[in-house]
Amino acid sequence: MSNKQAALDVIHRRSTGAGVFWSGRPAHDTIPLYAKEWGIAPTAEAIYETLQDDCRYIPIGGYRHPEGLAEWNPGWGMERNRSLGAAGCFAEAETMAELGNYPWPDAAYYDFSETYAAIARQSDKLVFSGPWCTLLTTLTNHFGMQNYFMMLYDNPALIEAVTERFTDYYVSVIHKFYSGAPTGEVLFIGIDLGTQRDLFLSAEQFRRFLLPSIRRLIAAGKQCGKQVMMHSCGSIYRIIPDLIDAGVDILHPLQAQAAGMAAAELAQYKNDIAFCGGIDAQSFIVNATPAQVADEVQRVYGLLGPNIIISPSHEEVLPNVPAANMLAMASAAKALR
Amino acid sequence: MSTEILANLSLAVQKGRAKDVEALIAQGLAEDFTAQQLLEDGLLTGMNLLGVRFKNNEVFVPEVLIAARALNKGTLLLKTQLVEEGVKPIGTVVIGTVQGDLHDIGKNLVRMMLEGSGFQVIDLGVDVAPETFVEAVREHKPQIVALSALLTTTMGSQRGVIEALEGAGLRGTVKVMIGGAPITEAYANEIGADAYTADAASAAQMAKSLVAA
Repeated sequence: MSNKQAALDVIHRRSTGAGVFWSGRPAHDTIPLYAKEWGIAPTAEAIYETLQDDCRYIPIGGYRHPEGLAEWNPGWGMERNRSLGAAGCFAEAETMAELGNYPWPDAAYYDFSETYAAIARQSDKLVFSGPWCTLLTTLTNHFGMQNYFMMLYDNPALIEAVTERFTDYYVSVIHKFYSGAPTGEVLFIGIDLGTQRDLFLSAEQFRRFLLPSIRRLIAAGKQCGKQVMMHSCGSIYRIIPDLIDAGVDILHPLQAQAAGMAAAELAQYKNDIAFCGGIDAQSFIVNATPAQVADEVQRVYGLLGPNIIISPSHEEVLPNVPAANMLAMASAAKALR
Repeated sequence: MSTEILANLSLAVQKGRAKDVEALIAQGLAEDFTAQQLLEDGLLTGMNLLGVRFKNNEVFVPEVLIAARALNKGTLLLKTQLVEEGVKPIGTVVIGTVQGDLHDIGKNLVRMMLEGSGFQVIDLGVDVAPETFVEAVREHKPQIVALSALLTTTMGSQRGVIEALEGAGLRGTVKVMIGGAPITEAYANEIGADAYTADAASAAQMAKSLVAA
């Protein structure tokens, strides 16, 4: 049985102690492995049901450009190398005027009817949804990762202008999405800011180039009456106070092995923010025994609870995570009091 | 001949000021510094100092990138003179992100730090098959092969490269360094790598110690 009320209590930081669990999302290659092991249908939903997930993440879909264009086109008019840091179509630009031919996305092209229908089927679950708003990745895709970071020095005005333009778009999608129904309870945004060791860019650069936009995204979600969960992989300990101040309600995924992100270090914020994640997925749940996983759930909950959704520290569950460990995590979370 | 130029060159690299590097190189050559002096006591010193600050989390990825750009500007300007002076790299490293993995920023930072330490670096890019590493070792005869992986699902490919080098009879000719977010010292030992480092600056230091050994 899922427990939506307990999950709502967690995200509003008023839990009195019921365990809440979100398994994340099984990777494509993970689904048949778990299905075979558990004798269930090879679908993500069957896995969620087996694990008695309290939550569902339903990403928005339905971007229907009249000419079939994707929402984002970082390789527009060019041959783009397939490495993740490859230069994108903004790499050579010096002014916004030069980007006039880029097919900027438009929220008007979204038809959310299928997303709303999917959310309606999960009315007894806590639903995370809304545009993922992967701002930094979208920027680095369009400029090229290295170009983007160097342009913080070389052409900050262009970086700020493009960031503003992207943010305008994301805000418009948020408002369009939440003008319909049902939309779930949580706006889930994902802006990866950290490496294993620290932030990609300094806290000062973050505050200048990204935080104003993050504030706008959060404000848009709040205007629509939603709690806001923010995802960032990596070490972001330097800016957690900034995120709390900006209005983030729930922090995800708490990459436990990244610098400054262990549960014991995050515990200082437990009265200021709710958590989702925290069970290390980089190596622990890959290699641990089910009994060790259960112990770790209790340890993390003891440090960060009660306002935490127990979940892996990376939402995509890779095929090297044993099915037994996911079951152990779910069972241990459900047993928490 | 004032050594202030060398200090300023080092500082210009650390600040990522490529135009200052250009001017200081011209000034240094005009004042009869050798290209080797300008390279080693100016450019590489600056990059090494920046690497230490990066390791200590005092500077971040953008600062490393603009410093590497300034360094490259300087080394390009000195290229002809360095050849004339017979200055050679301290070693050759073949580097790449292993098969199945498209992440490259970490690998690129290591490459920049290696170049900033005086290595010639052959960058094979991302999603590199084991046999491609083997071919590169045959062709370039490096002292070191450096393997990057960001994912727990691709780190196994690092083992695959080591096995491919063994299969080709080349394992004894190179030291293998590995790195990436999920990598640990224990994993390096398990798969038979020669070294693991947690960050780009440490990787460059390790590479220097490996070629000096």
